[in-house]
Amino acid sequence: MTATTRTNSTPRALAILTIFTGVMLLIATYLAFIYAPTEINMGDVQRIFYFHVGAAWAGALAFAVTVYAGVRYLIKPAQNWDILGHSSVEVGLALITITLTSGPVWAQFAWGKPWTWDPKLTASAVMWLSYAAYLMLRQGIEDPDRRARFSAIYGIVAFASVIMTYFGVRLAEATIHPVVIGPSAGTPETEVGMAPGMRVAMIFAFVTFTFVYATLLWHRIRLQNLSERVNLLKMRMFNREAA
Amino acid sequence: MEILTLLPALHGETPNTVPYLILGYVIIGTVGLGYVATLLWRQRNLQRDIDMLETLQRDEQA
Repeated sequence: MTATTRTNSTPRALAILTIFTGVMLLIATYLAFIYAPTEINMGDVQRIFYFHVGAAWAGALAFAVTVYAGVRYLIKPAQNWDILGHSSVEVGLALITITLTSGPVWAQFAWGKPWTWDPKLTASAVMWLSYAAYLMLRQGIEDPDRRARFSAIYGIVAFASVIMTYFGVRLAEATIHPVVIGPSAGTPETEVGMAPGMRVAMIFAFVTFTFVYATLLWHRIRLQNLSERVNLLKMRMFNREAA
Repeated sequence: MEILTLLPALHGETPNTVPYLILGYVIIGTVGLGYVATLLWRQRNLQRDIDMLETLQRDEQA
């Protein structure tokens, strides 16, 4: 009983991080809804951008962490790197889902339709599908070592879709997706000018979603460790019965 | 597509887009909380499995 409690009780640092992230989210919501000025052309719908872009940033960060974990695993195979890579993909996919589902609401107003096969949007959809496939394909591999090796390689290769989404399409002049950060090769209509209040809300959203990612990742890793523990206990039971 | 031609503000005052804003954040909240709920649900199930397996293990040892 003691062992169970020790294994599953939330570490103090994680509890503090979770509360801190919750407070950050509340402040980010205040900044997005009240502090940031209303955009003249779009009105309040522009406020979706703060969480939409924040989630997109954290999702990309999550997939970059998967690349790191994959490289580390290939250099020296250890289960921890596989758990980190797998957990990061799942959290990243949840964050990118936020981006892909909130964007169409803004687009419905701005473009008159929720989705277009614009290079940026198409690349985002390909990125989402690539990482959804990562999770599905993992489930199809029984051998843990083969699964981890496959995941490491796939996680590195799939990052090409992230580069394409965030950087590659900036070179495409045909895109109608607004460019919030950095230069664009698109038309002046796709450049987003931000008032100082908007900039503060946007930067805070970036920081907040970084914490959201870190918090969810830690919880997800703990979940994976619990799952490994269940497998270990089952294996012990099975071996004892076989003996 | 010239997106600015679709924005009503260029033809007058700032449009009222609060319903879009609410819908957007409802979606963000639903996806976010939905994912957190799946984490909690899976954790609860695994916890139950661990408790059961450890009980069985203790019973066998006793």
